[in-house]
Amino acid sequence: MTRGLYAALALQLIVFAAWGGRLLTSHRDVAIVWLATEPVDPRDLLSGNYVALRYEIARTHCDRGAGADEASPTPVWVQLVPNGDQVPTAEAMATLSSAIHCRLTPPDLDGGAPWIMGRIEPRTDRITFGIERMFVGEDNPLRTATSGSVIAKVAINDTFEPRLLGLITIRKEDVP
Amino acid sequence: MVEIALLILAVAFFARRGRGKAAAPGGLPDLLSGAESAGIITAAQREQLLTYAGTHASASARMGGAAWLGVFAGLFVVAGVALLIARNWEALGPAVRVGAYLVVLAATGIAAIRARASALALSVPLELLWFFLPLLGIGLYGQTFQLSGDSIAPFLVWLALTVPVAWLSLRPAVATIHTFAMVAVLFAGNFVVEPASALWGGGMVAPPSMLAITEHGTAPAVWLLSIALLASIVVQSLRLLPRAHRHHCVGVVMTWLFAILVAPTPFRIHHEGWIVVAALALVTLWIVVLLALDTSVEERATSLCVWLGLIYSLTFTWHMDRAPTGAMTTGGRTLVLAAVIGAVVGALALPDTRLSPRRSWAHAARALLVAPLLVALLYLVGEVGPVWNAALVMNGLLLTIAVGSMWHGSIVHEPAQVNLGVVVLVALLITRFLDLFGSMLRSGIGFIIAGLALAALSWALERTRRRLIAGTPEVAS
Repeated sequence: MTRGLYAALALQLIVFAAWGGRLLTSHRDVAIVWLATEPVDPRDLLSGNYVALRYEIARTHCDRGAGADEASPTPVWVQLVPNGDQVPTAEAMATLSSAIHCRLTPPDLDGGAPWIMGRIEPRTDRITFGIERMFVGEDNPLRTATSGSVIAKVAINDTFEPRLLGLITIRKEDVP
Repeated sequence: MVEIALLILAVAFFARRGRGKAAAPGGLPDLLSGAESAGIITAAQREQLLTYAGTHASASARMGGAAWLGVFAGLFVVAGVALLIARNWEALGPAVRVGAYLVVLAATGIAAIRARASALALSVPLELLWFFLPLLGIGLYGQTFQLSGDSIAPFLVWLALTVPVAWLSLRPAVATIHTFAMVAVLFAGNFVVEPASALWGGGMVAPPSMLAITEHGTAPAVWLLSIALLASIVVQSLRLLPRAHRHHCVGVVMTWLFAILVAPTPFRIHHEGWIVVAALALVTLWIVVLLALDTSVEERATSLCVWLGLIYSLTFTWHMDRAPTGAMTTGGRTLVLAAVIGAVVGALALPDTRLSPRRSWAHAARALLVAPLLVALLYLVGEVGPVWNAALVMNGLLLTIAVGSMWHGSIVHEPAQVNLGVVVLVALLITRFLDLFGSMLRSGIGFIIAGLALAALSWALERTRRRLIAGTPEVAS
């Protein structure tokens, strides 16, 4: 029985070490894009404090394909290009990106415009990318931020997996 | 830093307290260790005895004040760690957080394994800390790396990772919490719609959880996963929970089935009459299953309370001003009919001894068990008249149940049945009194008369109750 418990502990450690290792390394030195967000009502659920985000690129039209099961999520890949809209940030002028194309199969890595992986949610046309929440600390001024008043800095790795790196609050006069 | 110091002090206090208790003679683990040292039993036998005691002995299953303090100590430590991480969030880099978490998980796991045979005050908090740490880790990773995923998936992963902790623990504390967590995750995943999402309608940010059952187009994988989780709850309850609470899982299954019928699922029923029949059929089936399994009083008490509460609530349908209406799904209708047939056939097939040691009383109990369900069929007629008749009959049934329970309790010398009968009778009489004469309570005189009447009723019932309990038991035939 003790061996079983040690095996369970070892399994937990392996899972969290492997997962942590992957998360620490999967988005090093990868493409960065800036994405505009759309207004969403702020909320504070039991799970903690986070900024709920919705992206303009989530409205990209993407056909599920003939015979697709609408009850299950459909994986999609969306191509992004800079749209020319610039927003001042602490680092530099950030050029926002927009979606120009969507496909149902993984694209090739050709070094061109970045692709971002998402999924069409069941029974909707909306795409989610796994970057819809930005967790913030207790003292972080972003705690009161809302979607639509921020732009998102997103890293996309070689497997087209996005990760939210940060949010920049934009002034009304800077909104493109 | 103050929090860290306090946390270390708290951990040290409980560790020292636990060590002191572990060293004290008297506990089963220490007794067995002594027996092993004396060569009376082998190490393997000691391990087997501890396992057996953890799952069977009632003394181990019952935790005293110190043990409960230990439980809360474990919860406080977990909460303290969570608060510390939140407070120092910005100062810690991702690698530091992951590394620190792995160290804490390893240290806690090893400490919990080594201390599992120690006193409750040490072993239970450590086990609980270890049990909750994977959930804390998932939350930590999610916040550190800004992971926005399915709201239920982290809980399913946590439950899967901690299955061995629940099954291999010597005590039922972790298994009980694990089982309860599985139930909570099942119901939250299947039926809880995020309030914000509901308000936004189609414009929601968070997608439905991977366990969400919806009215139109639920993926087969969702059903499979839900049923697998339900089956796991049943198996784990029967194998790991304290003996007197193992069959609460029957209630979980019946509640889940009822939720399937009233929530927006492919089995949904909107018709109020069918909802009443479904509720009564499922609760009757719940009682029948528990009686068939000859379960404990604690386990049967819940189902009995729900059954009585349901009949009591149906007595108010006297006030309905229209016939029950609403749409039905074919699946829902089939499920309800199956439950009705199962409840009636099950009740008829119950051995007499499960209902009463006296055969005539067993027949009466069987009839009373099935009667409300059959009367509830009047709610399906489609006119309001039968609904009023059903409400009247429900009053009569409740009165019969109350008097029968008191009478039977006095015969078999079971005070609990007498007390139950008195409670039901008082609730019914007061309710009907206010229901019928409530409109007259507009003057001070009316209140005085009502108060005196209730006082007389209370005096008469209490006198009857004492006489019934004090009565000489008759020998069961």
